[in-house]
Amino acid sequence: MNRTFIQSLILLGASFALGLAYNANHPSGIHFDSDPLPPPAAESRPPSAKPTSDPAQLFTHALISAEWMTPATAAPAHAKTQPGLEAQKVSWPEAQELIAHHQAVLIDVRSPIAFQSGHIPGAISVPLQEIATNLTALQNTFPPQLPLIFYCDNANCPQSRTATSLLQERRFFTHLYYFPGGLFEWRAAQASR
Amino acid sequence: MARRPGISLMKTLLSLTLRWCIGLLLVWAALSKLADPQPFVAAIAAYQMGLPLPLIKLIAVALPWLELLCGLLLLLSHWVRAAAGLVALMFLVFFLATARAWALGYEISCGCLNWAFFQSIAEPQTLKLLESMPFATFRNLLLLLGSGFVWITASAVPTTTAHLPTDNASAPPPA
Repeated sequence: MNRTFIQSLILLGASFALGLAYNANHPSGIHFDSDPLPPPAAESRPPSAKPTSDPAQLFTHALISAEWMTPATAAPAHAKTQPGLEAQKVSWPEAQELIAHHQAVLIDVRSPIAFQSGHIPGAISVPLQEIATNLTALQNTFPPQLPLIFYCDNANCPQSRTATSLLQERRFFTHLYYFPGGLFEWRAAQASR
Repeated sequence: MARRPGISLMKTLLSLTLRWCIGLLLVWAALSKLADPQPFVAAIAAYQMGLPLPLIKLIAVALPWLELLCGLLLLLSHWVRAAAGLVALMFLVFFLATARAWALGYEISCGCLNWAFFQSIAEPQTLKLLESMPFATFRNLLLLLGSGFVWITASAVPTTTAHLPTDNASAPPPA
């Protein structure tokens, strides 16, 4: 057999072996089981439970202000999402209603750089990578029935949908929304006012 | 057919330079991913290529090590043909993925390199450009061409600089 081909196979095999060994021993390694940490039972924690930690310390890059720590008073009456079910897609007027009447949290999942160069007022920055790596921190920050609305740039950016998919896997948050229009739709709405 | 020593020397130097540049880039990319493995999962998932999550996780586990091993081998000039071949294959996949994301209008972070070092010295707009899909696509295309060149010239280029061909190779050895 060709020597180069054998060397390539050795490199591939060594990469997988070293990767798996390193990952198993890394404190923040990747978990291969779909639900590595048992999610806290939603029933054991009232919706209005105060978060236990300072959110600013929970996320490396998150820009969260204390105002978002106010607990949700009630779930949106029209909300249909249940743990594990499909997250709802919302337009900007629907997102506004959720924010105004149900204290929904608007979460910008783009990079911190993109957030700093422009975002929807009142939104907090929790980059998608932070959500993927620190789901437990998100669970400790927000009550499970607090409506969370995720957005990114526009309908072509998949991060907001990816964020809700990642959270749905954990079956913790009961009211997940994504705002596909994102910053583009919000800017259009502002321009037409 | 006689080889022109001038062109051969230039080809050798270009190949060695590319080896070192690509090798250093790969080591940098690998170390930044190995320092914090989990964000790479989200970075791959954001490309929305329809891959199942376990496969994405497996790629996120193995790819940084493949980058590191290939980068070190290129720097050390060992197993160059195998390493360059795998690197060219990686950059081909990266190029196709970023080009697809660019074509679909995805405004996602490339997830390829860690630009944290530049955050203190570069403007946010510059960093956004460095992370953008068009920039990543062109960078991956250049790296694909570079690693392809290294792969093609791997057998012709010596494994260490000590054996670089010189224009006066035909000169008699010193007494």
